[in-house]
Amino acid sequence: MGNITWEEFVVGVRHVLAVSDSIGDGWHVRGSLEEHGGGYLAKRMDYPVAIGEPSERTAEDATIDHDSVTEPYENDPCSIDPDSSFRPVYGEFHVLYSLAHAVPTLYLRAWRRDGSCLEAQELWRGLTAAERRPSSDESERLRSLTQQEHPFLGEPWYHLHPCRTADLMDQIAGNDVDRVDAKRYFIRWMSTVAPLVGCPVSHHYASFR
Amino acid sequence: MTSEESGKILQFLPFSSVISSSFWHKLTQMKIDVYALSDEPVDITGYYTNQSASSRLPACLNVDYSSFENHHASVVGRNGILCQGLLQNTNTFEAFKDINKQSAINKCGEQIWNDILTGAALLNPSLLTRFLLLTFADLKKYQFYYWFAFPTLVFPSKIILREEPKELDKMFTKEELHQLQQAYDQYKTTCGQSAFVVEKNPELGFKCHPLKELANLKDTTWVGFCDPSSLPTNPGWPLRNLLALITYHYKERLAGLSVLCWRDEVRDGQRRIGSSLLIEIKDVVYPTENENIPKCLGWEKNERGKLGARMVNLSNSMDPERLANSAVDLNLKLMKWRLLPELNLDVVQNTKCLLLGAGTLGCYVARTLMAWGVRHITFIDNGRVSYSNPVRQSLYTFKDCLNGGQAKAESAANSLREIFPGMISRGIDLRIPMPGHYVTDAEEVEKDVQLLADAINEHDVVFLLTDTRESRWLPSMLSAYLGKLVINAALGFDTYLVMRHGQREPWNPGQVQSEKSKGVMRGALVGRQLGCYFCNDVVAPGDSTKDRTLDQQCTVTRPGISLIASGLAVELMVSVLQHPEGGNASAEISTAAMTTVQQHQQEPDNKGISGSPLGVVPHSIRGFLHRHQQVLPATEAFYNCTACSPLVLKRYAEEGYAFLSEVFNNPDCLEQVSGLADLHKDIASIEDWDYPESEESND
Repeated sequence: MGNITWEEFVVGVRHVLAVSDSIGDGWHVRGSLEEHGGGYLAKRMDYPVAIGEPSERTAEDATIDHDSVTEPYENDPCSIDPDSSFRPVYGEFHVLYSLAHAVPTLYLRAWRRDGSCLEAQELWRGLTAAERRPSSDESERLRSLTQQEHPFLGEPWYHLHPCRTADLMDQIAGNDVDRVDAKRYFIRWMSTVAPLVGCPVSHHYASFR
Repeated sequence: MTSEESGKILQFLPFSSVISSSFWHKLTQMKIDVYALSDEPVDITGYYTNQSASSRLPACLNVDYSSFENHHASVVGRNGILCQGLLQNTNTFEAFKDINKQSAINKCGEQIWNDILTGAALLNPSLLTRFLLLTFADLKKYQFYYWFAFPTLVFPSKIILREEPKELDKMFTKEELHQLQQAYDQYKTTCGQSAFVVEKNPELGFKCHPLKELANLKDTTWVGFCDPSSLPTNPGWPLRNLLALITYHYKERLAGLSVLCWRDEVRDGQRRIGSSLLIEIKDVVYPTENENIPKCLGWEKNERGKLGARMVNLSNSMDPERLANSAVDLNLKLMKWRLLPELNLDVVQNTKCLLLGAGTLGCYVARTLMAWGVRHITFIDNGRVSYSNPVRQSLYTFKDCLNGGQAKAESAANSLREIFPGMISRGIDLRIPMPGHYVTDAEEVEKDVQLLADAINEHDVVFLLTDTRESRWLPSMLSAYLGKLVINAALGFDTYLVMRHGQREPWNPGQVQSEKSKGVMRGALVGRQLGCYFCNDVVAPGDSTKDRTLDQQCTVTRPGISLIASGLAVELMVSVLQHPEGGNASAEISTAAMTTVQQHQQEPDNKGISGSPLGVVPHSIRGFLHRHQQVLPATEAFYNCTACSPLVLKRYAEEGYAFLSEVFNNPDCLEQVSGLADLHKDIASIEDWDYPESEESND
């Protein structure tokens, strides 16, 4: 029961979509679920978090002042300046089906305002709230974020490596002798894994009608 | 002006640009595949939301990969509001700087003003919220220069408020808010626009209408818009052009008009609209100059709070060489994270390795070192790549054999960098001087010795991977003299030997380097007590045709043997580096050491395992493929060794090249210096020492 098929994955995805639609937390599908392995679940980080340190600088300064610009009102009395001390970080979460491991896989990426990406260490520091930080060995291993080319986008993303997911799901199932249906599997997995990287999963997902 | 004194001027929060990393990836792709050298402005889209939760958050205008696509709407989500944008990507930094920013934004302002005049914006208010994006993509350095503008018309020039903006929470009951929310939702599903009119009927409650209905509604009405700001007193930028529209068409309605800044937040399934603001306009001030078109402003300020462009360096996520680097490192870190938390990868990565011999062993050793994350590899070899090489020697291909063949050392070094550009590799074309090989050009040989000594000195670990025994003597002696770790690999037809030399401090005449053995020792030998390749020999290296040890028969070997031995050689180095004692790590001399690695690991309290996280750190590994067996003998340094004994090192320290020259011409002199000659006189015969399989290993 540690693994699921693509069809079961799709059942899980559709459950998430249905719940998300009612509570408005932004999960949507990209690509096509009709095609085997052809689509995935995506969501933007709900709220940017303020963990971003300034992006890496090269020798030359990253900002260029244009004194030549003569706007009619250099100091526009009708606007206020945004709080520049606040450096938000934005992110996106994707749930893909891993054909090789037959489990769902969480991909994520986070970036600063200018589009520069956060490194793995910064991701952990910033996204995992202290109280959510896993302590057990198993969770510790689960934490390993690895860089991986996004199978659909071809860009470097981070993902939680799927090689231990099946074991983890077996453990979570524990004494649950009944075969867990696809929806429950999916939500169990998501609510275990996603909060580790700063993607909260609402309790609404746990109600299966 | 009197009104100004008695009221507060409304200040708007400008947009803050937010660029997803995927936007830059897509722009790069578009530049290469579609735009090429064109710097004509192209249409893109961006979006903002009115669901910001924290008042510290800026009002974000986002662009991402879907900004280039038509189906953007499906991606912006429930509260996303699409905006039209114009992207101009220049070909040079100069062109980026030279674009007339004021005329660029004025052009956009004209467009907005035109949409206001024609009434198009009344039917479709999203025409009012536009943006400009100038970019220059330096794709060689993965640097992107960019500057956003959010054009807004200065019309009216000032808005005077009757009082401070108020939050809906504080003005309406929960029921009223709920009814307003329903009215908005109903409007949104039918009309879906980001600006609207709210009718407040005392009997029927709230109802939302399209903007153009403002003229027909006489009841208490508000103008509403989806507000990206979350500040308690300031509305977001889109309201500015919306008020320009209303001022133009419904000037008479302005004084006393209430504006609803609609903020619609969902958190954990709970929807909150109570932080929406209601603003009541008392009066407006019109621009003093009479121009056809109101002035336009809106270039975004940079991080220093000045009007100016920004630059972002994305080599981390775009430069393939840096991606390869971090991918290699991350892959290794998996081992650390998952299996061996105490593993020190930095020490491996920072180790400089010198490979003597760029043949079968050299190629495989280099590849395995690379796999461990070693970045610094130097080859020494004086051969050329021949037609028989590429199939066994994994760093060469057929084309390296052509035209007489490439120099092996250089070719192997180049090959490493082709495989992984992060490598710092070098090839030195050098013939290692050998005992018994008569020196014809003394000056040349002296230079070669110096070159070799310098190379050894510059590296941390020396791999002996040459095909003859005598070529290992000089590097063994020099490495002992310089105190370097030596890993030695040698092959027979179906046998192999992989060993580390005993590692001591660099030669220091004041220090006792080694003592005569006190006889049979119990327990483990520490690293500095261990022997070298030559310690087990009772003859000086010389003409190799006479020798019959397993590694010397010739280079005819079962092909898999060199992979096995190379793998073990690198793993042995890594085990030593991971041991807290490093080169001084203990090896066992007891019979237990002569078992298999598996048996070792089954003994939980085995001393060898305690030191290195990777398990036992043997002195030597001898393998026998015909029986698929491996033994781990450990032997003490031999006081009369021809390569590492203090007698020889002392002589080299004192006489330098003069001593070596003598050795090259007459290897017997080594036996004299080391005292082997005396030993020969003392003992008629010496039994083989640590070679339990010797009877079965037929020559």
